Amino acid sequence: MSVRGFVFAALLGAAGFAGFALYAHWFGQTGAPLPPATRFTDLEGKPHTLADYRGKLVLVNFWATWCAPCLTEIPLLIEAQKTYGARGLQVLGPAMDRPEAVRAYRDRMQLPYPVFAGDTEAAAAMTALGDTEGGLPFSVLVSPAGEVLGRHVGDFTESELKRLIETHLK
Amino acid sequence: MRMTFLAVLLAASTASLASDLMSSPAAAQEFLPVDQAFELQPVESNNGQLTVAWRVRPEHYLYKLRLAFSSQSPGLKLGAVKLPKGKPYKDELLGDTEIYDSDLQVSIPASGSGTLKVTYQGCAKKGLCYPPQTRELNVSVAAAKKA
Repeated sequence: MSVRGFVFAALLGAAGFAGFALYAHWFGQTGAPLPPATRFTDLEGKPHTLADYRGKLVLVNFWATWCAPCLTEIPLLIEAQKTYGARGLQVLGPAMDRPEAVRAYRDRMQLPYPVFAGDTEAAAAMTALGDTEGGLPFSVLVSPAGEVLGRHVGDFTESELKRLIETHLK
Repeated sequence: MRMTFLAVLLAASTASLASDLMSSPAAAQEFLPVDQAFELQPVESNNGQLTVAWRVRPEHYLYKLRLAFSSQSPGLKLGAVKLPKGKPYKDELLGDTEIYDSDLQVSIPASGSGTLKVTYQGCAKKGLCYPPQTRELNVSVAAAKKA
């Protein structure tokens, strides 16, 4: 290999590594298997698991009606579901909240994605999916094969959410 | 020459993307567990009063509206709680409200002993809210000194 070729390869490798490391820092660990005991109950009382959504890129967004930054973020998630749903994105909204409060908010905002309710269930799922702070919003991205691609604590900006989804949608 | 130029271009564009990610709000977000964000201090009892205090970390706040105190024991009597004036705050959810974004101390007229239930809720200014917290504390109130 020529010196020029070596420099190119080294720069390419360093750049790729830096990009991956910074992305991993931004969105948490990648490639972890999905915990089996992640369950959610919908507003009609039916149980669901993340395995029900295999084959889709799933963005699980934990929220609550008492959480101001969650409500700020929800219009972005509505838009994301409408824009990318046909390409395989599925947003899910488990709420650490009372079913009646979630139902009222869902109906008022006409949420185009499934929401679930239950304090204990949501808290357990957050912990199982790697949350350590216990705060909301908390989001987890799951690959179509069921692997955790990353975690995000706090609210997304529009550009962060768009970049995240477009990076992972084929 | 062309290869070197391409390599430098690639490195520069990656650095630019990385810089963008690092400067985004999410990159800077390293949130605290709730008990570190709002550190409840041991309850003090003096002269017929209980003092409940929190160390509120910078860039965090408690909602005045979401503070509540109640007795869980017949032997503990609480008087009316007068909360300190908070800082005016415009909240997405609550509208115009008041918050405490620095250390907070609340005095509660009380007598007897038993379990004091304390409820509070707050957020980090960077965009995270903690669920309502409830703590049950065993307290014993020292009687007020007679003049």
